[in-house]
Amino acid sequence: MTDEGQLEVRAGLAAHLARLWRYGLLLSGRRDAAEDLVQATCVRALERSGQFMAGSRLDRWLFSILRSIWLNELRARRIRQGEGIVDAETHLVFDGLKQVETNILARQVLTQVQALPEAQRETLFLVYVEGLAYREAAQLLEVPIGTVMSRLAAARESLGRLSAGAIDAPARGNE
Amino acid sequence: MGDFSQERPTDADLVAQLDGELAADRLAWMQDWLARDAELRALHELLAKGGRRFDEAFGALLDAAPRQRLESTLAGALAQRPEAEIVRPSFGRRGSGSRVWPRLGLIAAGIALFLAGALAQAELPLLSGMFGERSSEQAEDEWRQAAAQYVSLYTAETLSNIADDPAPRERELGALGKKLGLALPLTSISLPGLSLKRVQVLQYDGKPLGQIAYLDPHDGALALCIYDGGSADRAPASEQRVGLNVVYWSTRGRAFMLVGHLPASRLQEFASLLTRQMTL
Repeated sequence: MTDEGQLEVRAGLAAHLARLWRYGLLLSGRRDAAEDLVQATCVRALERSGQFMAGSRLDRWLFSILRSIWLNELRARRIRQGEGIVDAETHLVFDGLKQVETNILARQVLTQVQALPEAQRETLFLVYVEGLAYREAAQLLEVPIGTVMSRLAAARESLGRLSAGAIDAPARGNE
Repeated sequence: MGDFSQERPTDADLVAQLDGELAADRLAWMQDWLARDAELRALHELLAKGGRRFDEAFGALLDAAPRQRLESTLAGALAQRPEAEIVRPSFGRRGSGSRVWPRLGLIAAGIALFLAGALAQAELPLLSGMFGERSSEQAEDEWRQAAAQYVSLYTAETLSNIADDPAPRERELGALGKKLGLALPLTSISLPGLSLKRVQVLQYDGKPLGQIAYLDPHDGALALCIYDGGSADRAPASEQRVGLNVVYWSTRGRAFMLVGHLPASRLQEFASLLTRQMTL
């Protein structure tokens, strides 16, 4: 017996495909892996559509599914196969960057963000691109809200030093 | 809450302030510290410099997404999980009076059967009245919603297997033209850069609905839909439905719409072209 939530998932998936792909690309750094992630997310979302609460944020729910598949399946498999992920702080190179039509400034931003450590990169993406509030990001990432904040601070500090004319700032205290 | 006034803001506090997430009762505290602590001010400035137009830069990635392939895989996943039964209606009007359309899933189930040739009648399911309710006035845009939902199920794969052969298209256009009371020679509905793939005679709410499907090598399926529902002339206008771009207009008592993933500007150009071609 189908219900409201299940129908919402079936009807709503199409609208989020591009954003899911983008999230997958940010996590994996690879276009093919991003497509795999979207496909796996669609299948898993349909399997679990009975768990989706009608009227709640479908995009957040789909993001958490994609993330879970990445962490528990794809990423783990790639580590075992030695495909370029060494540890949690690995910097990834964005393989499809050349193919993305964009201006020089935007490309620079993308490159700089992809060069950040994994945790900072993902947190920055969720908050500053997808617009999640700190609390929402903390929930999705399953970390305390303070961790979200310190990751954003660390990311901003790195990017801030890359900016022309970055000033000398004191060492970070108060960890 | 304890007295935090003697605590120096951390970098987490600074970020929160930059992002508008600092608690209201801490704003004055932050301003106070920034005013008197040069080192803190310098760090604040550094963190501020770390901001970028992130959403603009990442917006380009959305455009780079392989939409056709993603939609195909979704269609495949949906097809493997057909909905088991008809469900309670979730249909009605929200407080503001905006329409709540019946779930796409139901339409998809019916149309999947139609595409598979299982239904004899080429009738698109009526959106209102699906569960016995009929409003006294059908919304003018209802046929566009039904047609757009149908087109949203097309993928490039659906059409690319059809050979480019004008003869069957001419025959189909003749049949459609008869139904609609319009002359539809191939030249009148040709669009530059697109292959004409399929012409279908459908119905909506008992009135003829023509659907002419094209394939664009880059943006996938585009449909020109013509509905003989009786409508006053109107100039082309743009909208979005079911995640697709739409340009719609009415002339000589027929309603027209172009619907697909092509950019709205291109649809508008095509709309102008068609209105010229179809009056020649």
